[in-house]
Amino acid sequence: MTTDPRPHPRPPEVDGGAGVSEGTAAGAVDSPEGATGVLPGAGVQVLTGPQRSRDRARRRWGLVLAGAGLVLLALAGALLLVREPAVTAAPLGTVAPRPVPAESGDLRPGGPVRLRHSGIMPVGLELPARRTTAPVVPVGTGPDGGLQIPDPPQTVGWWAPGALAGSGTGTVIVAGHVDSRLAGIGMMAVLPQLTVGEPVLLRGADGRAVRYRVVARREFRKAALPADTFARTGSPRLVLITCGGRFDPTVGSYEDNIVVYADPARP
Amino acid sequence: MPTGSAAPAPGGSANQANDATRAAYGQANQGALALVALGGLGTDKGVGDQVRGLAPDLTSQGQALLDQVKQAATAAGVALGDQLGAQQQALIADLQARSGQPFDTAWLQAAQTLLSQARDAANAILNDPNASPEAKAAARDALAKLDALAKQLSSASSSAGASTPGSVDAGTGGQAAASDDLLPIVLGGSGLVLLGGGGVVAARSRRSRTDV
Repeated sequence: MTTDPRPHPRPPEVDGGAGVSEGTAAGAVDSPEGATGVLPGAGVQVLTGPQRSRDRARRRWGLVLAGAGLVLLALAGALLLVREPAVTAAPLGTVAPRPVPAESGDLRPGGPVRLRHSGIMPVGLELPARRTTAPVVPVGTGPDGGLQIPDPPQTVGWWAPGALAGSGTGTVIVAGHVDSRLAGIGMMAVLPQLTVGEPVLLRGADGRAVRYRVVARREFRKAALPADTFARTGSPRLVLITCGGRFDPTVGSYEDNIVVYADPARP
Repeated sequence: MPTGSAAPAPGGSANQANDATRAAYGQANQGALALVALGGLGTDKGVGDQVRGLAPDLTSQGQALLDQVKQAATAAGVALGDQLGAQQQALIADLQARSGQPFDTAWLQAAQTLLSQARDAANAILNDPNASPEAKAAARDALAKLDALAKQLSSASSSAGASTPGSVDAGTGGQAAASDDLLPIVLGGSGLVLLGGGGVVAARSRRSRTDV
């Protein structure tokens, strides 16, 4: 019996045993002293020292990335749960006080009297700076006391009992949906982005246009919409109304109104 | 006299009526003239049953009030004109520029407003200590008729959608609100990318250690 004088390689530690680094895949083999090769008959690759440290670094990076990803996903989920979807509009400009009593539609003597050139019934709303237009239809007040808004959110409603566009007196009211469950975002969703001085046009069926310029914007709780908003007296102005604030999905409506005020533009 | 306002009757007993009395008669005269004009316009241009039904009543009530006011004013030595004031003319011009349902709703609103003005004028005569008993009786009679007409107008105004809105509900979808929520979308997207990256690195690590 002879003895092989060559030093035998030390048997490798098989994954799963003591001293094996965590995360080692089943079947993979570490080689502590840096031996290389495949364990015969086991189908197992033996890693060298540098390979092993690279592998550990990779695994560490993978874990770090995955952990960070999970944290961000958890944050996003938490935000979606906690945050309440809302449309907000920063207040802009100054709203001139109305020289009329809160009771709208009042034409009693005492208000400013202006002989007006006859106005027009608007059939189109234009925001030239945004290349946006919308058809305008006359609307009234519903049995529930709410302003009747056209269902398609790309169409807006002119409160027909109110002032005519271009009238010398009173408020022209135009309102539209900010969005609709069935038809998506509405034309009036642009109101929070309007700027002071931006032109707004109301066009009549005969093609005549009445030009206004944005002077102010406010956001009110729906219940606190000023009573003189619909006044038919006072100096002429255009008021654009849509919804804003927090959206309550349980009732399918917003809590606030966003109101944009525009004065007649000087020719 | 250019408008329906009041002035001392020429050659009449100007001292019989003081300024307050003249103002009250002038206001009542203006209100009555406006009611007559509005009634005529409603008869001509109204399209809905409410306006077509009420317009003749407005005309007849306005005319009756006008006759009573003129009679009482003449007795008090006050001369009245027969033209609408600037405010009423503007109102009529506004209505004439409308047609269809917008005319009807604006007409109903205007009728309520003018009726309210006429009531105020009648009350002014009732409260005027210088008004004659006959004038006060006429004012009381007019008030009763105007009140009855006001109730009809209020009811018609509500059913025609002409009353002033109490609220504006203009959004049902919530998409406009949701579109503002960019932060969760960015965070979620970044999280998914990192998670995917981590998975790829781990898979490479595993592949490099696994015997094929």
